[in-house]
Amino acid sequence: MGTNLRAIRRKIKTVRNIWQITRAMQMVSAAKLKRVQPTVEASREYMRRLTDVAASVAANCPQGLHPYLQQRPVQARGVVVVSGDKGLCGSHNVNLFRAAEGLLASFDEPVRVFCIGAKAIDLGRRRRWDVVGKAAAPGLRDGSREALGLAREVRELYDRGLVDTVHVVYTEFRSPMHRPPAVAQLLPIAAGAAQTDEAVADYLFEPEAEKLLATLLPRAVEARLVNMLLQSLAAEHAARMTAMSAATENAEELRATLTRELNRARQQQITSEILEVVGGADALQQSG
Amino acid sequence: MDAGKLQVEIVTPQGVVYRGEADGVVAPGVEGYFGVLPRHAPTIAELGVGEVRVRHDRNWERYAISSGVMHIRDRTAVIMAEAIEAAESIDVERARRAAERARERLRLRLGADVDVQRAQFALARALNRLKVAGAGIDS
Repeated sequence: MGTNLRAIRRKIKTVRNIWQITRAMQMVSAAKLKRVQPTVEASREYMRRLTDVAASVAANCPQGLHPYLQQRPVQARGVVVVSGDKGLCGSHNVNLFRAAEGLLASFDEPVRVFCIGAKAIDLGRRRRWDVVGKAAAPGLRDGSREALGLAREVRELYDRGLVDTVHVVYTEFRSPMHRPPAVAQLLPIAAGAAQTDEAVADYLFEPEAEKLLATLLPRAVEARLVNMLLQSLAAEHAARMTAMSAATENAEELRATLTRELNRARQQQITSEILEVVGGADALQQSG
Repeated sequence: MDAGKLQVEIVTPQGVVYRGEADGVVAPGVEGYFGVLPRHAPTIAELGVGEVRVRHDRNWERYAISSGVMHIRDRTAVIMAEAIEAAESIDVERARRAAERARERLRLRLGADVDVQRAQFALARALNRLKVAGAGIDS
């Protein structure tokens, strides 16, 4: 009986430790999410405006002059897979990998993969993908600058002709509760995306439209990828926050059940001890 | 909105740096500095290394910029830049060190053209920041 009590006490202690850890992680993720969210908003705003300007310039250029607006014959496809560096975030990475594998399976051409985040790198190794680039996920402190560097590397794959299309598998951050995995084509820019509903105003261009487009388009593409990377980062923290809050609740429940069990076992022990004492006294009386 | 004013915004990937009405803006176009007043013709211009000045009443607000785009239409002027710093928030010490490093690299390695180009650009950026901050350039 005594060993049983001790075992339950030990279990309660373990559960309590887990509860403390998951609760701490939940709060850390909540704080991090709060820090990333404004950067997601800022990068979205920047991307929107830059795309807007690029579209206005493109409207004044003869079609198909810039390689980013042209579909060239596809010999190899590029896919950027954006995961987190760490686990313990529920189905965040799993959902993303399912989307990535679905996309890769849909291509007939050879696929070159750029893995961002330790989890994506692991998957790339396991699945024997042709990984042409890998990097850690952008961090919290200098996320948008790190993301910009990565965006440049990805764009260079296309510039150097290593890949003829670029798709990105990332996690969309619509709200902390709603963050579906998403697939988007980054390059070449689809014809519809580079159009503007604004009437072709007689803009003055400095320098001329073609040159301007050549500097604007790469930046617009980078800004878009930066935004996707930051959305993924925010989604990861939101996913971890949700997962850890569920884990904390489970630990609480388990602790309540174990405490109840402990009390019952202790009462049983006391009852049986009393019975033993009474039984012993009875036996003494009878023999006396 | 005051008809005689220009709505100015400076936007970076990190957020909006400036948003407000102004009387005029001077910006470093890649083909030379140009001024923007209210009712300017719709323009899209690429900006290079230099100083952006926003005039508000009698005051000039100054910013150091290394590259960007300016979009002018309907009495609004939007500057988009990956890096732009207000004159008063420039870290003079850091800019000095950056200039020193770039000079050192230019002195030592005149080998690979890419590195030289990068160092030249870094030097131009650092000197520009020092100039906008109003600090002396010791060489």
